[in-house]
Amino acid sequence: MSEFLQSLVVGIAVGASTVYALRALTPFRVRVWIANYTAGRLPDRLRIWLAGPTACQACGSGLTKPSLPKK
Amino acid sequence: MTDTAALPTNLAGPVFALVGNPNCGKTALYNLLTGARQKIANYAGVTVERKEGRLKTQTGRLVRILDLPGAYSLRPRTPDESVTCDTVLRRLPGEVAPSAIVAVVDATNLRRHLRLVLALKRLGYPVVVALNMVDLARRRGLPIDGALLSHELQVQVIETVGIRAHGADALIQYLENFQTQDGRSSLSDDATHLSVSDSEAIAADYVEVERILAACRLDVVPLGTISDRIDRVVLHPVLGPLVLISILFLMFQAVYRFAKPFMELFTDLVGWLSVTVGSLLPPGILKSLLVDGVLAGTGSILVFLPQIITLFGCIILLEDSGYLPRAAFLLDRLMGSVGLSGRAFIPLLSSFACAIPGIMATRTIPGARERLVTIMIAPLMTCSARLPVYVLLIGAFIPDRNLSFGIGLQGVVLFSLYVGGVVAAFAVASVLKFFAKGRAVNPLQMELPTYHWPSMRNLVLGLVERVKIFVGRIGSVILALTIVLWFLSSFPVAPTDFVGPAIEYSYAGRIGLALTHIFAPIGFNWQISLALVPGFAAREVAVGALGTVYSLAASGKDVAGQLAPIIAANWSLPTALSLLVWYVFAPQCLSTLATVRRETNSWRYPLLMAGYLFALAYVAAGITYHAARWLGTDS
Amino acid sequence: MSELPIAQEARVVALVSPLGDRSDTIERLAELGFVPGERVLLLARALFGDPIAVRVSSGTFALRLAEAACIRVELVSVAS
Repeated sequence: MSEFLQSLVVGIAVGASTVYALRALTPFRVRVWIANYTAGRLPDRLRIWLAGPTACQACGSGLTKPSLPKK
Repeated sequence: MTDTAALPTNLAGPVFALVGNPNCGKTALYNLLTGARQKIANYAGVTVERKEGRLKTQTGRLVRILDLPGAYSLRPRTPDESVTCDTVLRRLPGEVAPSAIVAVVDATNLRRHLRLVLALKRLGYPVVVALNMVDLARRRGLPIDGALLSHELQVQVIETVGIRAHGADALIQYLENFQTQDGRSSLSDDATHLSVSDSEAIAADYVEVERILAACRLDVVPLGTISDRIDRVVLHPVLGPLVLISILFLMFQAVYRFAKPFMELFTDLVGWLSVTVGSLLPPGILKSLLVDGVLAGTGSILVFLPQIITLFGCIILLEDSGYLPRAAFLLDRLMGSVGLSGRAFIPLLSSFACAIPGIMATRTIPGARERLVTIMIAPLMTCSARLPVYVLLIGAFIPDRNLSFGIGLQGVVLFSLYVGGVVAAFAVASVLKFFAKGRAVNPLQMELPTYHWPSMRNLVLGLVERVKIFVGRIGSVILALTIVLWFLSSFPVAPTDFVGPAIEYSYAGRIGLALTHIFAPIGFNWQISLALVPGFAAREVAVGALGTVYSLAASGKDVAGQLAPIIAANWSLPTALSLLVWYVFAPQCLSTLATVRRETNSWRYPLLMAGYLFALAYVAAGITYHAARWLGTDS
Repeated sequence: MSELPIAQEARVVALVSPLGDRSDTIERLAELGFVPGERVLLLARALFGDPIAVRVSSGTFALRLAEAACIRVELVSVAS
């Protein structure tokens, strides 16, 4: 395998991992804000992915409401 | 919310809410209906949130199911009961309101459960009763007759067995044929009035329930069952604590002894894999990424799967048997001395799996102050993500000596680390108690459920779920972090005239060396300091990070899965002990902090928590390090 | 209730709050199944006597002594 191809594969892996790790470390509300802010600017699929696995699938708002009543 | 909906919003289909007393099997039914895998166990208060799932019947009809926390009545005493009441009384604007109610009752305990059914009926919802655990009731010789009960209650009654594969088929059949009268259910207008029904209503319900039970010939309940006889021993003031200690001690021995051969198998497998991959690929950065990064990083965590499974197997068995609330009973007085009650025990015990469900489970605690204290000390319970760190260090530094009676020294050390966390938690709680002004007696009123034989099905499903979560985490977050860490440890490449190991020239090396200014006083080298950073994302990543860093440093040698001998050769015993102690207290992962933020509705407590744990960890690790050196164990 | 000997069956007579306003406790106790006429059985006392485990027909519950004190009981003759 050529050195260029190796670098390319490694580069993609590192890039994708960085984005993934950053998403995992970003608080949920911030992610939802980004997803909402980028509406119309980024593809919807990407935005849903950004909002993350806890995005509310049922209401589509991207927000799960805590079921605990506020004090 | 702005118009950003990206998914279909209004799902069609009626919404059924599962409502019932705690521990009657609502979540077991929910799992059967929707194919979900929510946690079920034999104690009150496992479910503390509302969960929504969907059921598609054979004819293609879509039915939505709401799983709710258990409630003794419609007058909530705890935050989890409030969730149920607010949902049923439609006090949550913007949330899905149920169109009908499936009132789940425990067939072995109709007297208490039917009262809630009567209260629900009064609200005006279409109600169907799911008569759960009928198998158990029949085995005990109770003359359960669904048709008769249905006649007396004037509500349709469907028999179910929540823990059996097809136990809810009749209920599914009913849901399929359900028709709402007018699209919307006819909820009576005075629902809010009814919710605060007085003692007279309770008394009337009581009379009515007695009438129904008498009509069904179920009014005489024998006291002194097998469960009661077990309780006489297990709750005994002297025998009880002995039983409790033996169970916990055996559990940690099992984690060590039982899992060890499997772990060695895994270690060999990962080692073989890394040699094979290494020989197949040409030398270069791709090989380095796969062998030093991915395999050394994730592999060193994956080998702890057997320990995780053993630990969770023990926890599931304990949860299923109904023993846990008894343990809480035994410890109530002890916990009372630091301002907590037995109620706090189960959330704390859940924290041994992970602090997040533990913190969620504090919703079952009625007192606001007690709940807060429990949240604050929950991270001191050793979560399962810390297990890899413990096992790695113990395996490398503690000799595998056999004490008497087949008890291994390593298991004892592991046990004492867990105990260390618990003792610290008690200490912190008593400090917090000191600050608290005014002190109300916290109510206990805790249900001690009937003992059940743990269900094999539940055990297997629970373990499969744990394996999926563990492997899933390794395949996603941990893999990503490992690759990022590999990149940081490999670049920039050291110039040829750089003196010292190449890795110290990399970003990771520089970060680690900078961090040693903070951590050197407690005996950590730069590799450990660096590994602590990704440990904030997920604790077990610290092990993976060490795997990657040492794999790169050892350039050429295959270290995946062989981390223990390397650190044994590189670290002094005081350093290892210091790291162990650090991990007893170490500030928790970010997800835990986020959960605390959500459950307390403020940033104050998560920040306070992170601060005090960091200080505690630093001081305790420092004391350990210097004491160990002073005692001359540094050889 | 709190003074009952272990394994002695008794019958609930009334729920009373001896310490002023504890109506919330009373209500919850009634909801759990401690209602006049019910038979109760003291299963165990924890170390130092508090809390206690009580069996009613509707289940087994752990109660504090202060809570149990709200439950007035009378002994049931062994003849039954």
